[in-house]
Amino acid sequence: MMLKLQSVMTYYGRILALKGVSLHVDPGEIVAVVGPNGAGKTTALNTISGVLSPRSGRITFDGKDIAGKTADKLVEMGLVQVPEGRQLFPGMSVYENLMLGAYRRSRAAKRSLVSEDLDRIYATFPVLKDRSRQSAGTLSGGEQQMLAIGRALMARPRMLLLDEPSMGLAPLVVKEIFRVIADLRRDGGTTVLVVEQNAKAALAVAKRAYVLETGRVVMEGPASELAKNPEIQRAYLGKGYKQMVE
Amino acid sequence: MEQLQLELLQTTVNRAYRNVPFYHRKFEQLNIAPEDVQSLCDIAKLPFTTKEDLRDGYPYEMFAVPLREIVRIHSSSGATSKPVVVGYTRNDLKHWADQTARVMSAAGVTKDDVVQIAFDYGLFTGGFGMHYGAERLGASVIPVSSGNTERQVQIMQDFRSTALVSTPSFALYLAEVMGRLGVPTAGLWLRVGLFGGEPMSERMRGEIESRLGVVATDNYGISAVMGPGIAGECELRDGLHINEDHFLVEVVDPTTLQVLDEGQEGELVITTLTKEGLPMIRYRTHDISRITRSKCKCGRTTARMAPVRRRTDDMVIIRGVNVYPKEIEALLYEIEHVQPHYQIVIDREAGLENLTLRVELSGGMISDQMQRLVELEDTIKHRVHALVGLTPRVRLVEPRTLHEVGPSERVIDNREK
Repeated sequence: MMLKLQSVMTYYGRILALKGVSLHVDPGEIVAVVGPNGAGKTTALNTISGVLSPRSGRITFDGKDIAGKTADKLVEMGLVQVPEGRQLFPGMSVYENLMLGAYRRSRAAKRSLVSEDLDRIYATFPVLKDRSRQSAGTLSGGEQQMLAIGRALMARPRMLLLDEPSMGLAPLVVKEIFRVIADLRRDGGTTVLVVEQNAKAALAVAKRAYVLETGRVVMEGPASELAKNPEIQRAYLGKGYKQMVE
Repeated sequence: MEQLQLELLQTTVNRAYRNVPFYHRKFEQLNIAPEDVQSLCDIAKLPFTTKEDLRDGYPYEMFAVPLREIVRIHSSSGATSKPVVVGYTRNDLKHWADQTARVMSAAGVTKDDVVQIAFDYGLFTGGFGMHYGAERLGASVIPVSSGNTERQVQIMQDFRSTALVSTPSFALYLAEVMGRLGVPTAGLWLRVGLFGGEPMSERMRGEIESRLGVVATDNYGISAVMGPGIAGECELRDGLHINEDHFLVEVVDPTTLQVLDEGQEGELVITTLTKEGLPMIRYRTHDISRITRSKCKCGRTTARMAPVRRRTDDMVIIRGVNVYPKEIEALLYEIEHVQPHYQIVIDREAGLENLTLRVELSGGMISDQMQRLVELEDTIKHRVHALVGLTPRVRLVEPRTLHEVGPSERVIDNREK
């Protein structure tokens, strides 16, 4: 198991936002955490990535205890988060934003390796190459999301944490983003933990998924199985209402 | 496995707490919350579920999903009280098939087998449960159901059944009918038997194996929890492999309810880990067994449970001694000239409790040889005394007088309550 959470509790101020969450991610897997607004999805991700500290429970990455470790240490270990809402530097160019992703390694790593990675990211997202000199703020929502993922990839992550990658994007663009996520795993072997309100999109690419509700995991299993589950369909996929009326 | 079990346990507890009023109430009474389950050991903090709880919830109160998501309903017979009703979602049925398939595969059944399922198909879970597993494996399934023994023999011969799924007593009865019909078992294609639904003593196993020419494996299931598919023996027959990714099995002391260590004998308590329709937290089975986590030579790494031979609730206490009728039955198997058909009668005379054992004679035993009958009675007395430490009165009865005594008449307790 690459990432393992055991009974993690995290407070958001005085509110217990994660009520003993256990989950795991195996190497090479795409795992989704789905659930409604306020379920604790982002809290879970922020607790893993070191933005928040858990009150209790264990978090291990590659068998090492990482609970309470700061985000920069985790990036060095290969655990990189793509934050909700992209968090780009809008006044800086696409190229500059990407290079920031390599900031932690630029001193240690050889320049040639960094430019190799840059080429690979340009190959994955050709649109970023076309606009490399444009400022990030002028990109469309989908392009910004690609840039945010690209920037995270510059840190050479072994595991990517994605927070609501579909947020604010048109359905076609959401599809494109998730296709890229699936490709990352297939081509680069990148392990992915994705948190999503758009359950349908996330369950389509994930291997397994956890359903979070008010800080508790209430369902888990193969994503294909959960996508067919009537409870999930009714609650998150907007299906079943017609039958209920009938 | 532990990480998976912890995740699934927490999920099950969260769902039960949220969706089943019974569990919500129980948790509040005990002043515990789902998040108190932080490790697998914390299961000891959770409340037990009993058959009475399930009956009180008759019919649908214990379900964790709306009825429209339930695709199958099974039920116990409920001869004396309200039955236990069990609901399955589509996923539950899928998992059920996976688990019975695993049990059958461990016993040696493959897609090349012709599986004769002689369990009742109906409200009882045995028939359908094993059927799904056999089908899942790709075996050729004959859903012959129970009864109609002569026809079963015919089918077994003509359809070349290679695997038999039934209760152990039905297997013995089949052998007897074959004997009567003059069907040589050597001509059968049968090679493996999967037995469940009732205890199978080693004596019975041996008899089934020699008379039917099969490898007789024991498997365990309990209708209130799911049905068959909870655990089953591999071909080595050295304990039943538990499907630990779907069930958390504990052994507790039936009186103090304390969790017992590995290897200690006590009551099996089962928590479901993946069931959606009817999640069960710490269900008291009343079945007595013990668990080992040592590795099986077959290579499977799951914990194993000893075959269930007796139950806590058919234990009778006489003069402070725990007596299990099943142990007496096993003992009678070993004594010549008597059948394992018996009745236990308990009386109190002048304050003293007496155990009387009524035992049926075999057909060949001529009952007018007084001397031999007395010897036989003495043998039984000595053997029972050696087993339980009580000397019973023994009454030998004519052949075919007790063979139809059902489980509820097995023990006649005339003591005032």
